[in-house]
Amino acid sequence: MFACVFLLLALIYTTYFNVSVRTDPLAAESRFNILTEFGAHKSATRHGARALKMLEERGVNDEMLVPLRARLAATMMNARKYEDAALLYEKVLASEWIQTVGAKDRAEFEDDLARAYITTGELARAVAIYTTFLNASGDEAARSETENEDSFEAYYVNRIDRATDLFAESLKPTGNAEKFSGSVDERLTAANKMTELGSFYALRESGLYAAAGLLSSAYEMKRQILGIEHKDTFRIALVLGPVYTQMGRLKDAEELYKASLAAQENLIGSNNPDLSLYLKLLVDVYQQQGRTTEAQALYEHMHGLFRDAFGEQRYASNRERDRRQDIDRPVSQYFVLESNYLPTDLVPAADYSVPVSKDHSIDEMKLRLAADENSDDPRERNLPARLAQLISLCRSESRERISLRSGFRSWHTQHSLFQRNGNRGTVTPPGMSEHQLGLAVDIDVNGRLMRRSDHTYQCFEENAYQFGFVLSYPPGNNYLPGEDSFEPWHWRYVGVRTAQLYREAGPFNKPQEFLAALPCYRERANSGNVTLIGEVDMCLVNEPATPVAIATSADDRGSAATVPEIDPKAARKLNNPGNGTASN
Amino acid sequence: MTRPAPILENAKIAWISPDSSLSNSFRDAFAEANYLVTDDMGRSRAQIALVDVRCAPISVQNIRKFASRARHAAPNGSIIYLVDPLLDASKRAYLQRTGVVVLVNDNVDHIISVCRNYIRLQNIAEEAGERVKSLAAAGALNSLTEPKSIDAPYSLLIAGKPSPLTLSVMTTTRNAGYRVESVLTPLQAMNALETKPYDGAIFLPDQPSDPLRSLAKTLNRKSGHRDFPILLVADEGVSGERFLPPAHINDDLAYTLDRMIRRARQTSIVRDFLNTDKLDRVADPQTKAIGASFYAQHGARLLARAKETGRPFSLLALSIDAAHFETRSLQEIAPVLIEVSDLISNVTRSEDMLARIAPTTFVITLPATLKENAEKIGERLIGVIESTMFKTTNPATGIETLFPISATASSVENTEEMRFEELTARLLATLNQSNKSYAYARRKNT
Repeated sequence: MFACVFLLLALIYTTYFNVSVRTDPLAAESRFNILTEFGAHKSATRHGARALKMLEERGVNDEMLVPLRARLAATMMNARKYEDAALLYEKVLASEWIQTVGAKDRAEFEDDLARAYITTGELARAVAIYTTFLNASGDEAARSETENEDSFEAYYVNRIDRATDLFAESLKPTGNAEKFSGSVDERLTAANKMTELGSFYALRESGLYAAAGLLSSAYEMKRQILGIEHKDTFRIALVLGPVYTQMGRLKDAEELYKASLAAQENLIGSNNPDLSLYLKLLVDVYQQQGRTTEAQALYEHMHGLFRDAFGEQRYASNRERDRRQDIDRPVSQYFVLESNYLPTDLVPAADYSVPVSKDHSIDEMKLRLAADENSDDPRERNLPARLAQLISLCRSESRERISLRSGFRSWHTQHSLFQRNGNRGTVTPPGMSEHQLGLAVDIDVNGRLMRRSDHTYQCFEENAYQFGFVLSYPPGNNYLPGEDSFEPWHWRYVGVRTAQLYREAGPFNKPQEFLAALPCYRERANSGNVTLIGEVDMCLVNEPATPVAIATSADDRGSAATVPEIDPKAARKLNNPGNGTASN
Repeated sequence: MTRPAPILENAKIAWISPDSSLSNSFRDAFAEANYLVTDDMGRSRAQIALVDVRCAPISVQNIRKFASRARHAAPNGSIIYLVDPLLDASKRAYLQRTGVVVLVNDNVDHIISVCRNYIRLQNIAEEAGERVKSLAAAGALNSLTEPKSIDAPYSLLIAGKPSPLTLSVMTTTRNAGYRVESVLTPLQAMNALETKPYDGAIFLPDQPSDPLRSLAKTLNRKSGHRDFPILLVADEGVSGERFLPPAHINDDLAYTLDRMIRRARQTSIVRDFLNTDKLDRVADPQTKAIGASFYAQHGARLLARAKETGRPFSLLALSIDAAHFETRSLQEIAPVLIEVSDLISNVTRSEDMLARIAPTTFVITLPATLKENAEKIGERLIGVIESTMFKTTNPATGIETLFPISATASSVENTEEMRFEELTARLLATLNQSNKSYAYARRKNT
């Protein structure tokens, strides 16, 4: 009897419950909340969707429903109903309510929407969202590690980072250009954004597959729409090539560089030293493949191009001035500057028409004059003038806003910066920064540090050597304490002839080693006795390996200044040890 | 033993005419163009037989007789009939069964340019043979690129506004066995060429500023269509354009097209051969020589630079005596090849590129070098190789053998607007002839 009553009551309750959650939106919403809390996402979405529908039918103000939509979308993501979730998130993000929530919450919705897009195959939309994150992340996105975990910028970077695996799973590493449809303009825009995002992933070891998928798709789209001979197509090749090399896909890298080189030859002619960038990249790939004969043939070809452009005696002039004025002095953890080192010819960069991003009178916006009395053209006799010319050239090519972010930084400025940031990020310890020399520049593009995906970076890569600049921290360097310190924004003036020599006969992506052994390279170039590919580069045999202790306080500056830990063999090769324009 | 000059004499052309009259002016004009034209071949063989039928009565019997004499004079070469422009089309068609018909007046330059083209084509064919030899030596015959069937009907795109002329061109080409598709505007032509593989195209511009002319120029500048044959049907053409006057459509269109398409096909086949990656296996990795693929790629780059700077550019081919290699295993001859390549590398400059494109054939690119100097380099290399004693060890018995090897060389210089593949083909054909002459002289002396 008791059991029958209990069953009857249970039946009544069940009937009442089922009727109420189907007719009463509040009951359905309550049920949705409970089930969500208990992790029954699939069932929860049914009740949530019903509650939402009933509320919509009853004419509830759309803006009032947005919070419920947001919660329902999140539950649908958990229930793997990505298409429905994407529709709800689109409505949430289009509402006025979204203006009332914080930036982080909004980014959370957008991130979920992007993830839903990737899963449903709407890759172009997802890429567009993450590109806005990338733009919002400012300088953080330029580094391989986040500098300040609590910052907004780092938050955006982490969100993009989280999508690495999704992109890697959705795109083949050989590219899926066919997944991006639409008009020509839409596809070009998507390709640009994919390049930006792919370049970001390329900085991270775990992001190589995602980078390869995005960049090779973008490359293919650009190649199809604009053709192989378009500058934008080369730009992607410059980022994609190193990704392939890192992945061990040397054959793909070779094909990419070969196509770029052939296209460049068609564009600028077969006897142009500007081809040297792609020739050098190709030589590097051949060397890694063990194809030394081919590499040597290309190397000889490159010497021929330089000989034609700059003459047989291009490195014969006396560069005593460079040595005396520290213009070609290496600075890194192996070659530390004295704490009292101070250049004497600093000038405001703005006086020479260099666009600056800070107050033009502060020290950071100053550069060394590094005047060259022997230069043929008096207008080009100094560093700031050459930088202004390079920036002007690149601005006209890239249509991007380029300015000087940072020039000279004294030992003390560097010291306080390092104290503030510690070992995080890429702030160089005092004495190891080329900024102390007054010859290094950090380049700002569109209000943030220059990135590899920028048109300006491509322009600098192709042309900076003609103005005397080299990339100080190429990928994979060990010039600074910590892991990889690739800095695409940091360029250093070494003088026009030295930069040309580095491009023509220097080791690939080893500027510090080159500067340390500069007399050796110069002597070789003058005698025409260049190193054969595949043979040991005798100029680099005694490469220093022991980093120097960092002087972190004023008390131990003296010990850093004397540079006692440098390998004596390397120190002998250091072309200007201990002298220069140091002041007390 | 007297060895014939390693650098070969000029190509030989046999002259056949009903009255065997070969004027001195004709002979001199050919000599100036570096060809030896003679009406008495004796026992030697010519690369081309020129049959002058301008003054002869054209009958079936006569044609057979000429063809027989021509075939005897140039067993492996082309037969070219020089005919009067007013000759009846049916008689021309009959001549085309056994040879190539060229309409000429008294313009010797035109005949020379035709001969030059045909020798070029022969060289390409020779080069193809060299590549097959290389593949056979490497045991990689299965890596041959897919043959492009000559029997397949040629597909042709005709672009031009609807007009009686367009209709006439379509009818003529269809009758000649072409698979024809037609479009009206340059845009449609561009789309069609981008999306479908055609063997050739005929553009019919109706005025001098017609965009079809620009399209033809643009296509020939694009890497993918650089060798694509495009014929303009127009009364006149500017430099570099291949054109045919509308009045000649009925008689010459099919024939001209056929020649253009065949040449483009053959060039692309040679390029495919050179660019087949698997051919790189021919080069021994231990030698300092590069393989065929990189040779084709980098050689074209060097040639382009030479053209741009106006410097001479020569190729030197060196063939070492194959007799020793036919009786020894690859294991035995590998050290010899390495030594030969070392010898060559030591004698040549650092910017000279050494390639090994056939088992016993080396090619050296010589930037900024005249043919005369290339010949001297060739002689010097022969001297160095022939004065060296090479050593092989039989892997089974361990017995060491010392032996000398002989070599022949030939060189060509880029004197015309030739493609790198064509230059290579000419070089190899010259080398082939040099080898034959050398073998003949040796037989004679022994």
